[in-house]
Amino acid sequence: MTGFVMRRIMMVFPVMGFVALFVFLLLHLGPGDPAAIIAGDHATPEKLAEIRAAHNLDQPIPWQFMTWIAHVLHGDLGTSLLSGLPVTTLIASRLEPTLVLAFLTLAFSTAVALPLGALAACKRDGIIDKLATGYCVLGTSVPFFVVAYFLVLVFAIELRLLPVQGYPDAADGFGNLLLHLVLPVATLSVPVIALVTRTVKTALLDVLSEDHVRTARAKGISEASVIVFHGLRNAALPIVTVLGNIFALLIGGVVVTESIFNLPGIGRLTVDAVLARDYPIVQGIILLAGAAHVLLNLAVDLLYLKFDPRVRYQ
Amino acid sequence: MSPRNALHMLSIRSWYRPMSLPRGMTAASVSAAAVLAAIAALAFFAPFIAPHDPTFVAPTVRLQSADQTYLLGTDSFGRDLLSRLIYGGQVSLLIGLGTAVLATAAGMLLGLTAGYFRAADSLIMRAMDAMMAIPSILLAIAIVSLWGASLQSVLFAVAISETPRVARLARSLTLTARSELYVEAAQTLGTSPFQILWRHVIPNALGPLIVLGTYICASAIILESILSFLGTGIDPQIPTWGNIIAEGRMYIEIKPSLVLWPSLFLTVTVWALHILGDTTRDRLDPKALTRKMADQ
Repeated sequence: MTGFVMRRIMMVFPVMGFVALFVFLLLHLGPGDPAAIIAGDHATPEKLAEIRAAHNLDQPIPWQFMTWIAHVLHGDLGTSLLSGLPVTTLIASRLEPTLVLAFLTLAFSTAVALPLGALAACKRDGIIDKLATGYCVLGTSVPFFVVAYFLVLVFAIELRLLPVQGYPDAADGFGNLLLHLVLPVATLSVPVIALVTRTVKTALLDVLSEDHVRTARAKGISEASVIVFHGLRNAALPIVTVLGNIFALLIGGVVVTESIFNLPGIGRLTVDAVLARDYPIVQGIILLAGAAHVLLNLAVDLLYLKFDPRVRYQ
Repeated sequence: MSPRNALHMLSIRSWYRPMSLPRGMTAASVSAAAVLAAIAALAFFAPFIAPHDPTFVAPTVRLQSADQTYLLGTDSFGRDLLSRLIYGGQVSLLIGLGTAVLATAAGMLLGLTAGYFRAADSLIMRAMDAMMAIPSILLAIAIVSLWGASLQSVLFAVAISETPRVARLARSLTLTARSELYVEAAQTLGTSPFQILWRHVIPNALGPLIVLGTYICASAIILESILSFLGTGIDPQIPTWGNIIAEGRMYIEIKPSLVLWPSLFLTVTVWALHILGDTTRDRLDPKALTRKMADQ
């Protein structure tokens, strides 16, 4: 078992190495001179030379990669071209809205999707199952911004129940902040609920056809206990495995949602940086998102190991 | 993960039951195919069908509501919304199909190599893991912004971010096929690896890969629309559904139909692709079939 854990942990390093390589090559293998890309449209030759020297662009590519990696490992993701602030500082200052958004979305989605998926699995082909599966297809088909504008149109413009956009300071009233987060969280939740409901249902269906569930029923345990203690408990693992997918979904979601609802989070920072061609920020965000994803998948695999003893003996 | 499970995890169980249609067809799959055929026909024959020039600016008829001349009204530049929607389908379908073809080709090449030639396996798959770790939207935005926003770079960016999924599936299918007796027999007879891949492995892997291709087509269309919407995609001069929504959102309080119509086109297209993928998968997936038959 320790061997398995060690091998799994060691696998993180080559993957992270490749992530870093891709992020680095993104700027350096593209058509055009990186210095010209950084300098913008109206740069003089002197200015270009200056930039090349400042960003080590006059060095051989492998050497540039090594120095870049060395800086990254020391926690230095470079400085923003526009503001001149360190990228890490900028990212840290934008983390709060994104984390709040992600946390609320996860909490809300789980609260809806768990019972929905369970009900759909219990009464297969019943009315709830049909509605839930229909919703799952639709929820994964609708792009985030379509959901967002639909909600804005109905709840903010027609009914005037909720604010259209903004992220007020929590100090000015926590309720006001929550009110501003209702629509973004609802937007993000639509596909997340679809994904989780589908997973819960499939996992539960697999478990419910197992022998031990039949035994439990034969013993006369109430159907609710069978579902919760024998079904959901064993279905928990497949549900955990989609955490990585949810993360990827949420990243895509915050990029769009924060732009629409004007929330000063990581997603907004990414879009602003891309539009302003502030590449160190874009690189930094991609690198961190990749690292977070890799670590999350590691955690999921280790959880699997902890909860499913069968894996350990393989 | 067995390919069967892999296939099953790709998507949702279908929500329809067979009716009195021919075997393998359902009301949902037939309507999905009809919708896709209609959108493809609209896009392909756009110059003949579209009632107006989608880029013709007519400031005197800005933000008109629907009437006989402009069936769905006009946008803030006085351009005909219906014509723009019809032309927008061209870009979406082009990106969707192009990505599906490119990503499937690249992913198959990588996946077959990794699955058959074990020496290459860990190198290729760690690289694929790394690409999958980068959220596809970030990867696509970054590639397009660095390499310039054109149809080609968007296609390339979206295809790159979808390739690892194909590579993973192709690899796992290759691994399964490799352990089959007939492949072993072919190896014993001295058949070259390329012959084996071409004759035995690829035909067996094709079904699941086509299903995945359908889903990739759907997610490529969504990804393109997100890029257009954020202003980091195809030139706003070219009508795409994402571009139309991005422009229309300024006027959402005055004329919500500028956002709602392209949203509808986009959602229905992606929905139809998902249904089509699900139907095909259910026909190919013996596990779902067994479960279905056990239910009868």
